[in-house]
Amino acid sequence: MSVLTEQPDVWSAAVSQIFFSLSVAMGTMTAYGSGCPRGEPATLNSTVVGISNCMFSFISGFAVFASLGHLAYVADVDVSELDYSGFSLVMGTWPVIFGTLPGGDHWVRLLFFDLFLLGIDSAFSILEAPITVLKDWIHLESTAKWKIVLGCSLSGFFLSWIYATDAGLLFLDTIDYYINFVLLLIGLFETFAAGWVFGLEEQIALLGPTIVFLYMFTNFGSVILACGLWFGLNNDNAVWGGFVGLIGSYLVGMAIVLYLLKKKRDANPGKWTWKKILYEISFRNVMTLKKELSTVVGYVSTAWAVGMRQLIPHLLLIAFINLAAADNADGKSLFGHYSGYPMWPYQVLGILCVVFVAMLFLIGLASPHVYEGFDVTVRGPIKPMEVEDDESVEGMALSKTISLNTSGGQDEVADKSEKADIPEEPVVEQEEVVET
Amino acid sequence: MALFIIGLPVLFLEIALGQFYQTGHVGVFGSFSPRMRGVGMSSVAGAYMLVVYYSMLLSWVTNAFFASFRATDVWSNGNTSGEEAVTYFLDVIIGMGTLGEDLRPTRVVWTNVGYSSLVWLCIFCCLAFGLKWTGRVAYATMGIPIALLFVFLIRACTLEGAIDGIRAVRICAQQQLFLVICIRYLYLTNSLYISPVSVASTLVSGI
Repeated sequence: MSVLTEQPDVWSAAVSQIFFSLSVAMGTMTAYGSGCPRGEPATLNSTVVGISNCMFSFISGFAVFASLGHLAYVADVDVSELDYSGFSLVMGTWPVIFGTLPGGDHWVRLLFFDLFLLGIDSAFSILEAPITVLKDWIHLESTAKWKIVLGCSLSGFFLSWIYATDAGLLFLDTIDYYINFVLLLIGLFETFAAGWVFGLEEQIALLGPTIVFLYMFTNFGSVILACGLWFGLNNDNAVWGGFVGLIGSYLVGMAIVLYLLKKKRDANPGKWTWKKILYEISFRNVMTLKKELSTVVGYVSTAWAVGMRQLIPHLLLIAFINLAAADNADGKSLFGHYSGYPMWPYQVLGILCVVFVAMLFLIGLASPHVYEGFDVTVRGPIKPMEVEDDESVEGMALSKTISLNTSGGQDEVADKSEKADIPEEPVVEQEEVVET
Repeated sequence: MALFIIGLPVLFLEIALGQFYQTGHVGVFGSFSPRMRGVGMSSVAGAYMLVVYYSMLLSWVTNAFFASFRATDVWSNGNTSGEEAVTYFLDVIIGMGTLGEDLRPTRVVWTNVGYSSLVWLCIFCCLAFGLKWTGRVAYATMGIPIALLFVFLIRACTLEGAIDGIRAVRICAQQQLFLVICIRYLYLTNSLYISPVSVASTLVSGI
């Protein structure tokens, strides 16, 4: 257990690793979901994705450690003396083990080819999200999709030149590290939006802004205070102090909230019961979200809704602060001194990435109209997605065809299945149909 | 644990919201509140940053693929040590051989720029023309990595010394090394396994 207290940033890294491997927080899964026909059981789907991911990790972890054992045997050293980390752990084991098979070169070639196919697959499913957003942008609405893709690809190609220098791996490693922050931050924003912003206006209308924002402040303020104590204090009491701070400030805040609620309740007698008013402040919005979602995606767990409001945003906030507060061996903050690379250009670039992402969110928060042009929903009711748009999100069209054949019925779905049933039609023509 | 407490709920959140609103990230969070559109924008920016470095990772793999046809590659002689393979990959494929002590970039490795253009061309073609076959290719390629993973597992476990490696997991687990190694490593291998997993999910949704 010592690792958990001595290197707490391992926890945060684990969370962002999970995000990364499930490819959430990048818009990919939303794109995937928007391609799923309504009525698909989202709870089942996400559980299967999560579990199979876990299984893959376990099996390959087992295999890699076995091969490390062999490599140590060949080199005649102890396993712990092998100095492998990150990228070399993959490149130092897989090709070597395949090389020992009969017909080794062909196995190695197959491996690289396979990695390439897999990578391309993931790359364009990740890129799909930015392209969808650009395509929705009001200024590019009438631009052909291929032009937008060309723009993205070309700029991506030129940007990737910094990784094509001989220091490319260092750049990659640095950005890779700072992307942890980005993923945690986005995860935090997302869960906060779902758990705390959804239904916020209604809540304010019912209870008044003071109570609602005070409750929000109590929740997140106490977490931030606790983090300050956990990671700021440098003595043995930090852990306990943090919990005391967390619970103490939470109770104080809640006491004020309850007092205000009581006043509210007394002001309109008969309108509120204690049960009703407490439910209103703590859970009602997520329960509404749950109810709305379950009309489309089937079963939604209550635990999910409760967690989305009361647990997950808090945990992600802790994870983010935790990672930002992590120190390296020299006692300097890892944020800004990652892996001992020089400040310029590595650390600066990495920090800029994080700041840029945070800025994008804050700009949206401060002046929502800036992004108005990107939001298709303000331009009228959401129309059913065209089949081409979600095509490249890995095999979705095919699965859609299959499932629609079994579950068709609603008007909108039937409309889609007609299109999906003509898979051999040249794509270019379909593009034109969509444009006009 | 992080998977169940945080990973799965967020995954569910995204899939369900996408399914419910039938639109992209900006639209989804914009319909919560216009002020939340930035959530969508920031995740899109994150995705773009990721793709840019991911493409270079792919270019290196492509480079290695073509290098494996050359007579001078290190993998074909059958008794390469892990260290040789790593050094070869770092110094020759990525071109870190010329990197000085001060860790500053000194040159552009033009071979990798070339492979990178190939990678981006592939990405462009797949996305721009929304190719009908991408779905099918995904199904076909899903089998290969799973098969390769098991070949790798069986081969690795039958080689001499494998048991020491497994045992080392137990020993390391008591030290901090284990978790750190695991996480760094999972980060990279899993990135290569994103797609079979998402394809698996499409399979499920197909049933």
